[in-house]
Amino acid sequence: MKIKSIAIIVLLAFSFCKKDKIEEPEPVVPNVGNLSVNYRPTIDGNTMLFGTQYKNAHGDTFTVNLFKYYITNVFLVKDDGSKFSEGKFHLVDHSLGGGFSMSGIPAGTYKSMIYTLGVDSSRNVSGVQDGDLAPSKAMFWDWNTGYIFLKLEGTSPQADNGSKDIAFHIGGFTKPYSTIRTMTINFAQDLVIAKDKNPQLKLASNVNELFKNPFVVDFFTYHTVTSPGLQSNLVANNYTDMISYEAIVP
Amino acid sequence: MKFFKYILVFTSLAFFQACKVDPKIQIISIEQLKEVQPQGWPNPIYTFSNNAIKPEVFNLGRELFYDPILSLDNSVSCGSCHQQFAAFAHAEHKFSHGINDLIGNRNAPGMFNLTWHSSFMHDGGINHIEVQPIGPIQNPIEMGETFANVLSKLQNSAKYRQLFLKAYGTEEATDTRILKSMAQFMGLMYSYNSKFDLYKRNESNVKLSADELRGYAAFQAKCGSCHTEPLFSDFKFRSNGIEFNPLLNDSGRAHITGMPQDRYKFKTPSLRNIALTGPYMHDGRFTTLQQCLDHYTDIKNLVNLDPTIPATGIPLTSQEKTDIISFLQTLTDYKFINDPKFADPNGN
Repeated sequence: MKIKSIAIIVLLAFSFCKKDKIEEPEPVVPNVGNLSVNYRPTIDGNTMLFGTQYKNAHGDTFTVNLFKYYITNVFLVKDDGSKFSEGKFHLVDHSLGGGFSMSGIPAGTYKSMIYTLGVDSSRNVSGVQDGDLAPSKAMFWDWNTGYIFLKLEGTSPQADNGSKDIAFHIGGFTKPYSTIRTMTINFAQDLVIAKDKNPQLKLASNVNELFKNPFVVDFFTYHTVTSPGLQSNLVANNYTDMISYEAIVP
Repeated sequence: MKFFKYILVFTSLAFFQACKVDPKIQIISIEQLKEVQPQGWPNPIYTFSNNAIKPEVFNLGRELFYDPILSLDNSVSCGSCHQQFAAFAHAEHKFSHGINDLIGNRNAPGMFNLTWHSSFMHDGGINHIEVQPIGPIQNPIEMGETFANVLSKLQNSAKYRQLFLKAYGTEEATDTRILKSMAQFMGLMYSYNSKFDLYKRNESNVKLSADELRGYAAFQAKCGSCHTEPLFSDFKFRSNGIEFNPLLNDSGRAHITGMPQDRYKFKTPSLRNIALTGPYMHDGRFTTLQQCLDHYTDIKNLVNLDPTIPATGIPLTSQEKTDIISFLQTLTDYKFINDPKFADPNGN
């Protein structure tokens, strides 16, 4: 009885091993690589620090204590013009490092990146989402459904309100005030993606570009822009040149 | 005999245990949770195609709906201001009170047939049933909580970890699990069994009385172009000419669109269960249906007045008003307001 059961167990184990060996396919390792994308918050070239005083183009003094935005619909463009579409939604939060990583990128040499600042309209109308789009990330208008694409909060003595707070919650996905903007960043060096490498793309996010070019923001008048519409759209026009290329670390 | 005794003891123990866990939750079966499209109704806007109906998911949503854990100080639940006996409106409350007894400026509407709504709230600012609860949860004068904090409170609750496990296979609390389960509970609140519905469907030999029938005819002629059957609203935004209240200073739909032509417009409410959902209008200014009908013959605000309403008011005799009120009483769905699966699972 005992011997019999042991024999059965051994046989079973053996058959499992055998099966595994037969069915195990040759692993196909796709020729793909990763990329880290990092955003350095700046004030016209210098690293922006939370709580430090700066001046905007209008000459108003301000500090920043929160700065985050959605980078979505990222494409990497190869030297032959072909594109890799990542199709993900990234919340770049400068309180939490400010960046994201991409994987599964076909090996090759890349020349530019196309990205959207904002969240496409379909995600604004199709109910609850998880990941970086989860409403608990506090980038979501609960009273007027839609994602806040960019959030900057801080203070300014020029702000015409009791708290001297400034708050820019920029978003809106419907015409005529859609603040979804798609931009291209050309790389000054080649970005080489390969299987065993982890290159870094370093970008700068210039806070002061939010407040100028083309619309100069004075904090006396514009201290609280926190709903979709005309004012949000003016700031969105400014953020098209907020992000710029800095370097590639191979 | 002895064997029989043992069985009896064991089964009763098992029952006792089952009861102890959660008596009302055990009774809901998948058969009670069917997607419904009554005959002659349009296709619903929200289907459950990305929110598979399952008793454990429905139960999770039901627990959340009735749990004050969703509010900042654990004092206010959805069910505090949406009561089943009032067709999920707030009975005898012009405005509901939120945390710290804060008072809002809009009346809590009834809740039923929500899967046919293309927008939510009186100004239609919320575009999807799944994200609707975030509005009241985060509103500082309602439940005053952040959704991130709701997430962590639920994750830290042994009860909810168990409910998430049953509904979704792991104990993890996520935004989608919370909000889809709530959408499932609220979306399955169908109301289509009023006296009027039975009459229309020729069921149980139900007949309308002479004054109810006269009221129905007058309703069709004078009210039915906005309060369209079968939902008794087309859910569009209109100004119905009620007086602007400068103290509340509520611009209505314009608050969302920013368009001056949307000022004082509010979402047309369904008149189903209307006898139960007072006080009436977006700010609860009227306590009786008679006052509502009296308003329509005495228009106070012409700004953006809906073109179907004459500036001189809708011509209605006092007899017609009385008849219409009789008719509106036939829209009460007692089966819905007494359906145990929508009641507080903890019997509060």
